[in-house]
Amino acid sequence: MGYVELHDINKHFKKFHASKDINISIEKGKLVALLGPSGSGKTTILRMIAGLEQPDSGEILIDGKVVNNTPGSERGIGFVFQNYALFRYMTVYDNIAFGLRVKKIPEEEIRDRVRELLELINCEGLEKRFPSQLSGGQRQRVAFARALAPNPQILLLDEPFAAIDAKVRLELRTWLREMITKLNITSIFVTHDQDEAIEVADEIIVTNLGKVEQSGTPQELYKNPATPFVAQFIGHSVEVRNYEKFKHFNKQGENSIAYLRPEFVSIFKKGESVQFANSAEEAIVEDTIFRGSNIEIRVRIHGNLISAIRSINEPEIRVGELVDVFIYRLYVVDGENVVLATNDSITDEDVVI
Amino acid sequence: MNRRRSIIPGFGISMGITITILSIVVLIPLCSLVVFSAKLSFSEFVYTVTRPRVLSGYFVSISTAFIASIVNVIMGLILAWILVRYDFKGKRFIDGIIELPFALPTAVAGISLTHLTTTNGWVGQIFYNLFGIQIAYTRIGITVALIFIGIPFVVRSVQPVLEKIDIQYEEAAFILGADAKTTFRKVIFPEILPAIISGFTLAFARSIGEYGSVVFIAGNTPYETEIAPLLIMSELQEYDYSAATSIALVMLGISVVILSVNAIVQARVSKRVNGLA
Repeated sequence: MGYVELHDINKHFKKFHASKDINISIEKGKLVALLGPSGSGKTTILRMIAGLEQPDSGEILIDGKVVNNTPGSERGIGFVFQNYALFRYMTVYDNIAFGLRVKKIPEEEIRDRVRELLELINCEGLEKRFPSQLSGGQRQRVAFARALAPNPQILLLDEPFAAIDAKVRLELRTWLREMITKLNITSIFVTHDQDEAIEVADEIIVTNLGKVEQSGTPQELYKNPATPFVAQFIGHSVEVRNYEKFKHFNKQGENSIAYLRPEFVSIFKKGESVQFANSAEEAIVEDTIFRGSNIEIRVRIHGNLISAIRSINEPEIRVGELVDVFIYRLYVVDGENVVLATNDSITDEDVVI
Repeated sequence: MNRRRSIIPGFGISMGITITILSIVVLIPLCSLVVFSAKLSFSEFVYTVTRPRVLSGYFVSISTAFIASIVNVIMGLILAWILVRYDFKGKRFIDGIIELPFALPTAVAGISLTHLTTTNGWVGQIFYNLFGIQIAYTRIGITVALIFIGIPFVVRSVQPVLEKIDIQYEEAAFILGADAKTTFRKVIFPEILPAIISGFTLAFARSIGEYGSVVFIAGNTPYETEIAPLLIMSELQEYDYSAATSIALVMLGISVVILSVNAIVQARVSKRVNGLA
């Protein structure tokens, strides 16, 4: 039995069917990501859990109790908004204290709680500032503290990193993950960035077109995509229609197509690989893209432009060079089924995924 | 210095045009006020602008303008709220009609309001028969005319600010457990307060100087319903230009004070929001 459960939830906005038969179960203490492209209904799910939207049908349970008719403020949740929604005319202190003051908690207790939270978010000394005088990262942390102040059981975060610049975002991801683990609070966050979901979440719920496609740990999603959407959505997949032409792969169904991710492909300079020399494809390099920490190399095989990542420590590969391309595995989608096809020439015991 | 190109060419020319226009429409008339008034000695000036009848004129103008602006703040806030937060039939029509007091010649407004509110008028007879209240030819009548004149200032100041308030603020307050009253008082009201103040001061400044719509409804009884702008007019009719400009100068001073108070308040508030404090 999950701590937060959604049973057969449906939600329409006028004629738009935003949530279709949503069934979700989230365990206590887990950090869960709702991942999907924009318009896939992930924010709607979050807002329904928060009580900001009412489902048309279905039940929302928190800690075993149906909360459909409980106002959001009594569901024991904290909510961090996408743009933080910090009250502009209140100081950091007053923002964090807001949820406690409306509950008529004595002012001394509020002072202690706010101090404790400021310490938690490393923002001591900022209590007299206004939100406009904070950096993006500080604002997010204050929003986090404000949501936590009334001691919620569940923390909901709507695109928590969307409004922050790339470098700070990486720091905050780690910070948020540590913070949530430390507090052991059940947390659900919405994101469209799969790197973020994979790095931060214990469990990912993938949504598409108002439906839940799959939920599971990041490894499960990578290893066993349940639906064609997940197979092509997770990772930077390239669609391959004539995969049976690749060496050591067999056709698995009349209209099946395959998805190939860069991490499934290795590219070697001629003579570099001894192990895969006979099972590799020969190809000409069409493009190389320097990515700072690595190099993306694009080659064309049987008409498909395929990407692979190469370390910057390996010998340089140039455009136009003839290389060996070894494909470890790919996802074959046949109708609604997804199968992981492995290169016949290897046994899969020595690979992580 | 590395000068960046602006889309409006020539800082020199644009600045010149700006100064010229400002001089023609603002500075020259204002200077002429001072010049004309300066024909009087200081004691004559003080005497002219502090005659009991003139003092009572200021009082009538300021008190009715103040009450009318307070009423306008309340009514304008409700109007703006309804126009922003609700959808209903005829919303666009109401939205458009708000500006009518700007467009209508003030004399027309004055005559029709007077007509409505005399003891025989449609509205006036109801108030007279039921409550024994006379509207036209009293200070109440002046206030009514000033409410009519000032309402667009408040609505048009508050409306855009209200539109810009992100619904997320209210949702955040709601999830934190605040009721509607607290949310309005603590979250929404501070957001619109600067707009309310600016709407109030604009309406107030405009009402103090309002002439056209007021003269008909006021009745212009000295010491009772005689407004300051009317005193300027009557001095002019007696060809006493320096007396007229002296009173005008005092009116100008009052306007400057009101607008400065507004500017100071706005600067304080925007400091908080823009983080310059």
